[in-house]
Formats: sequence, C-alpha cells, structure tokens
Amino acid sequence: MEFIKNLGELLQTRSDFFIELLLQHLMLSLIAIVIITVVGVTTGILISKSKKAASVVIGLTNVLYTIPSIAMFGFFVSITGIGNTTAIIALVIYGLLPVIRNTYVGLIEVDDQILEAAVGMGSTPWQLLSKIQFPLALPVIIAGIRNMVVMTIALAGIASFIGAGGLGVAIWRGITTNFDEMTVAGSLLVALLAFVADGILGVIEKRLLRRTK
Amino acid sequence: MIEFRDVSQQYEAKKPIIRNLSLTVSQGEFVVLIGPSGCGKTTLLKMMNGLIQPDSGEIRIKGKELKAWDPITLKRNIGYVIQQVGLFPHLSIEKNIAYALDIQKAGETVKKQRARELIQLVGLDEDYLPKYPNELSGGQKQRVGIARALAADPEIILMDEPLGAVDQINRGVLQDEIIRIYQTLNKTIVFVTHDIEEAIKLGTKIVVMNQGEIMEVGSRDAIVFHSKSHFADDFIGNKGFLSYLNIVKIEQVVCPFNCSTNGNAAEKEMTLWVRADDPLIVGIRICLENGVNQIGVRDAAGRVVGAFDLSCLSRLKF
Repeated sequence: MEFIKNLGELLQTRSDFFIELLLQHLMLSLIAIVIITVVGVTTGILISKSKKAASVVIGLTNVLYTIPSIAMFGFFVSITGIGNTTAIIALVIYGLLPVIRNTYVGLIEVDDQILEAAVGMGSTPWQLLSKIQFPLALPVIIAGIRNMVVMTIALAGIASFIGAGGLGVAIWRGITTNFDEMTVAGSLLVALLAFVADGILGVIEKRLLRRTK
Repeated sequence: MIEFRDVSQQYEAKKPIIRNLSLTVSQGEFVVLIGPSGCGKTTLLKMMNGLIQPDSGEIRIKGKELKAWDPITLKRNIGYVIQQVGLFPHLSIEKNIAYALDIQKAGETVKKQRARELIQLVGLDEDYLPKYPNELSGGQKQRVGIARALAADPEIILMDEPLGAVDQINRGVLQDEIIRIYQTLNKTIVFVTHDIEEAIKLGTKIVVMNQGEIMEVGSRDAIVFHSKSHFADDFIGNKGFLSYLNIVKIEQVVCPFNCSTNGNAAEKEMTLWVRADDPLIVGIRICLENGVNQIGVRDAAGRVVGAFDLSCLSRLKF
C-alpha cells in the first residue's frame, strides 16, 4: 500500500520528467514503427513475387529475431555509436519480421480463383496488387503491424541502455539507484503506451475487417 | 472470331494436354467444350484469353494473332466467368460488376449506370448493388459473375464451368438465363462443362474432347444422332439423347393430322393434347401412357397447331 502511495507521489511530483520521457519514448517508437511499416510492407510485397526470395528473406529476419535484444543493441553501438540512431536501427531490425511475414502470407493467401478472375479480366500487375491483393491481405498485414507496434514500444524501453531517451531512462535509473518506485513507474508507462497503441490499432483493424470480410 | 490451328500445349513434361488441335469459333456461336476431367477443355479455354500460352501452333482472336495482342488488352476484350465465381469479397456487388470498367478508368457515372443495367439483365434487383458477395446465395453470386463478365461489353465471353457449384434447380434457371442473355445480346460464347445435359441444352456447337484432342465437333443434332467417333458416341450416348428429348420442343416436329398411315383419329375426335412448347419427351410419354400414336398440339394461346405423331417422328431428319 505504502509502495503504491509512493509511486503515485513520484508520478505527480516528477510529472514533467515522466511526460518528457513519455514523449521521447513515443517519438523513438514512432520513427521505428514508420520505418518498419514502410520497409516491411514493401519487402513483403516484393518477396511475394518469388518463393525463393521469400524463404531467404524470411529466414534471415527469423535469424535476426532470435538474437537477444541486448546483444543487438550492443552490437550496433560498436558500429553506429550510442544514442537514438542506434536504438532505431535495432528496433527496426526486430520489428521487421512480423510485418514482412504477415504481408507476405496475407498476399499469397488470397484465393487463386479471385486472382484468376482479376487477371482474366485484364488487370495490370499494379491493379491486381492495389485493387485486389493488397486490400484482401490488409487484415493480416494490420495484425502483423499491431504485433510489431506493441513489441517496438516495449523494446524501446531497453534503448536507454545504449544512451537513447525514452521511458527506459526511468527504468534504468530506478534499477541503478535501487529506487523501485522509479523502475515501476517507467515500466507502467511503457505498458500503458503499448496498451493504448494496441487499442487504437484494434479499432482500425475492426473497421477494415468489417469492410473486407 | 477465334481460330486455333495445330495448337499444342505441354502442360507437364509427360502428358500433352493439348495435341495438334484445330478449332474455329464463328461470331454469334455458342460453343460448348465438353469432355471428361483432364481432357484439356479448360486449358483450351484459357488459351483463348491468353491465360495459358500454347507451345506451338497458331491462335487468332478476332483475326489477329494471339502473340500480336497486348495481353492486357486481349483480356479486356473478352468476358470471363469462372467456376467458383471468384467475386471480389472486399468490393460491393456494384463495384464487382463494374470492375472491368474500373481498371479501364471509366467514369463513376458510367460505372454506376452500367452496374444498374447489368444487374437487371441477369435478373437481380438493384437493391443488391450495395451488398457484399458474402450476403448472396450461390446462384445469385453466379448471376453477378455473369454480369461482371458483360460489363465492358465484350464480343466474346468465356465461361469455365460457371454452374459447377450451383444446385440442380438453380442450374436449370441459370441455364435459361444464359440462353436468354446469349440471344438478346448476340455474343459469341465459349462454355466449358462436363455435364452432358448442359452441353446439349446450351450449345449451338458442341465440341467433344478427350485427352487433349477434339473427338468430334457438331451441332446438337449431329452430336446426338450422327456422331462419327466411338468416343463421342460413348460419352454422349443415351444421356445426351435423353437431354435432347428434354430440350427440343414439340413445335419443331409438328405434323398434319392423319399424317401416319395407320389411320388415326381426326382432329375433332382428339382427346389428348400437348403444348407446342413442351419438350418432345412429354409428347412421347403421353403417347406411351395412353397407347396411341398421335396426339394433338396446341400453342400457348390454346390454338390447334397440328399433331404430334410417334410414327412421323421417324421420318423427320435430325
């Protein structure tokens, strides 16, 4: 009980500090999310044209995905130094897998009969993709993006270990100074951010599903 | 309209799916391709709009070599209806019907008007336009599939077993619709089926295929009564004959009263009647049931048009 009271007090008295960290965290995640979405969806579309390329690319992202995050951050520090750039690079590499995979799966799982009808009616490859394949794959792609967003926001909490901003700063400070309330406050805010982002995407997903079912 | 000369297509390395095939489809014909599964009928159809390329031989569409056509333009010039309908689930019925116009960048008003015209043509209400494919029954979906193929007003329409997944009752109704559309719009239709009854009912020209080769080509009469190949004879056989009796109308075989030599009752004494638009099988059945050779024929308005006579049937040239 005492702990929760202290936690509330901390959040209140240091609200400026937390808001700034929250905004940094949001910014960091948002940049990574935008890059991941653009790169991931594009890659997913490109590899959907070739099974061979797909297995290579998805295999590769799978391998990257298995590297522990702390090791990944550490590895990039030696290349791009400490700070936000490195954090974003690491976040992008982690986030790519679900987006590439879901885009690819969504696109290739569109019913052959539907594709044949569209091709047989004289769609150009671009029309086939933009008017038929992509809209039909959208629910699966959105599910992948949703997955990635939550993951990226959570993972961005570790970014402060390599000198990036964000709520990880609070967590890190809490751990190093044995200040539990600080650690928990930072963690709670990360969780809250992820939760809200997931909720927003859930609403978007639902709306899209209603149209494409 | 469509011309195949010595066309071959090796689908898999081992068995040739199309072997040295030649076929001409003229303007206004309703050509039905029929044969057992794997005979190459669908492959043949897909060669007509360039979905499958032949390995050798020449294909001409509207007088122009297939290779000279831009593949996209060719497909836009030919309507295409497929087996499982393949409606686009994320588009409304209106957008589905207008898809062919949409990809050719037609204006919104043109698309809307055409969708309204076509949905009525295929016998559905305008209320269906804002609905989505999953709200429609199988038969309704297929009607939309046909409307969609007609959107860009193509001269040639290819149909690949369009009624394969439709139940028996709706199938008959849809067959009648297709005949009506064919007759009103004066299109050239190539239709693939494995249902003999359907082939006999729809085709003005029937192409019997087996193992990538054409076994026989002919009119309904020729295929049922004068097939020259053993295969076509076996394949069409009595089933084809039966559907023939179910389709050909009595008005086509009406003869004068007392036409047969065994001295039948005159018109006045006639007690048994059929309608001119009944199929042959009805007349035959009434004769057999009542042990007579001749019955009277009236038209839809009740006017006497002549007699239906079993012994006269044999004298008709099919």
